[in-house]
Amino acid sequence: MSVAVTSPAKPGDATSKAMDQTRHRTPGIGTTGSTVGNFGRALLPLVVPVLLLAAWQVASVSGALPPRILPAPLAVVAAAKALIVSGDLWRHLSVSAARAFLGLAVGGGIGFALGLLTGASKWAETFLDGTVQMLRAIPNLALLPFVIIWFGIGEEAKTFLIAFGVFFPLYLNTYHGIRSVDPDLVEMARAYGVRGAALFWHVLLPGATPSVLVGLRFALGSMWLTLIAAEALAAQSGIGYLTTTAREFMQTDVVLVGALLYALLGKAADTAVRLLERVLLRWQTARASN
Amino acid sequence: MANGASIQLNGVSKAFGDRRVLDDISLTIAPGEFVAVVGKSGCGKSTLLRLVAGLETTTEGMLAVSAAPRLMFQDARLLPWKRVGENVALGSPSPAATASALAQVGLADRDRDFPAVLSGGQKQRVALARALASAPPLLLLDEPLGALDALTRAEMQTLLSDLWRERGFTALLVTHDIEEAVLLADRVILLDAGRIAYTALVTVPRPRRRGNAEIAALTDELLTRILAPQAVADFAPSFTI
Repeated sequence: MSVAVTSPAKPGDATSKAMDQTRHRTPGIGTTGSTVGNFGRALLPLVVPVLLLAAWQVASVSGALPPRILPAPLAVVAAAKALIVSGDLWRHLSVSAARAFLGLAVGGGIGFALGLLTGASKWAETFLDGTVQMLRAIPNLALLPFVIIWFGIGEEAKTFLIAFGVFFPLYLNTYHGIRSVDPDLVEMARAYGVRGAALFWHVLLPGATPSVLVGLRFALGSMWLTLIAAEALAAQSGIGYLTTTAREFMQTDVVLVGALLYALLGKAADTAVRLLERVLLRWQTARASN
Repeated sequence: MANGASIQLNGVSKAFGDRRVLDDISLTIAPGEFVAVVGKSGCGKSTLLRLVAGLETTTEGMLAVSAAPRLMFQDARLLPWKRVGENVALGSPSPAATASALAQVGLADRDRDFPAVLSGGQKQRVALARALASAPPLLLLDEPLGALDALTRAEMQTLLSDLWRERGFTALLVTHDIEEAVLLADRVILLDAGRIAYTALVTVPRPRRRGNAEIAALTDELLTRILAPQAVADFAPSFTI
């Protein structure tokens, strides 16, 4: 090892290659080289995933990787295709998405409203914020036994768990968003006769929006995690039901389709928030586009 | 002039806790007059302006302002999420008044822009349009040009002076730029430790030019008085501000 480190550069190693490139950089070669370079650079990040997929497929086909451990990539594609054709994929996907967004609407809505209240009113902050901060320390999944006692294992339990999980990120970021609105702007607006509801709509709420959207992002992360846990608990439909049933029949390809569906939902929701940011925070990005 | 408001302060004092920031200030400002207040930082000049603006209340004394003022601050304080036109509309009685105010500050074509794309000087122009859109009888200016570069500042001083002469409102300007005070005002009031230390009448006819001998002499005199008493002794000619 120490010999390799201290030995002079061999023709094949990185240092001498870099030196060769500098030495041979003539204008003509440089031009063609850079076109190929750009093209190659765009494809470069795909090399490792493609190699991994290929190795995985080869390992599966050769029998080195038994399907009960991990199904072949092409088997997963086939399973997904079968689920699409039968209509099951869409049905379970929409049930799971509806579940997630119901929880988000309930918990996020309450968190947003309470955050606005404690952010805008000193009285509400004194009265409520301490309580909320105490409850925040409880991970929502730790409430699982209680949730089963209170709601059974039906839809209410799942909605409650998700709502509890998304409440805090939205509450905290809304509260801080309102609190961090520039007091100079508030003073200016008041001096121009903007008060009460108008002050809220034109100054406080738009000022808090960037922070609220950060809260929404965090809430989505919590939402998907809770959904997966809640659906594993017991479900008659949804992606969780699909994967649990598949596991019992050792259909690992369907289990993997389920995991990919969760990823797809998460990505879609994240993209939606990005679009929302682009619309609502246009005033922030105005400089960059000009 | 009939367009301006009058301001009257009688024995006005302001204290924050034990600290007396303004001490027994008596001052009358006539309608249409342009008064500048200068002094070292912490002399109480901003507090005086905030009292007149109604952003603070007096501890002692009588303060009477005959009409609601409009304000300009050192930072433009535009709502970043509202377009230029909507920001001006905040202080404007009608869309027509908004458009004409923007035209007067030379930004008629920028009403759809967000403040983020404007330069510092343009932002202050928008703030000026917002302040003047309702044709207020009194304009209060708290170091509104302090953050601008020298060239933009000179431009804004001319604009401010022109608009004041055209509209006839009363103006109260707080600034640490003595030359700016002398260039713009009818009367320059020097505050020191919360008291009126000196009042200078500026009788130079308008339009005034930077570098005019009378203005330079008055600026010098005021500077010397501001730096007195502790700094006068070692005030060397080579020391420029």
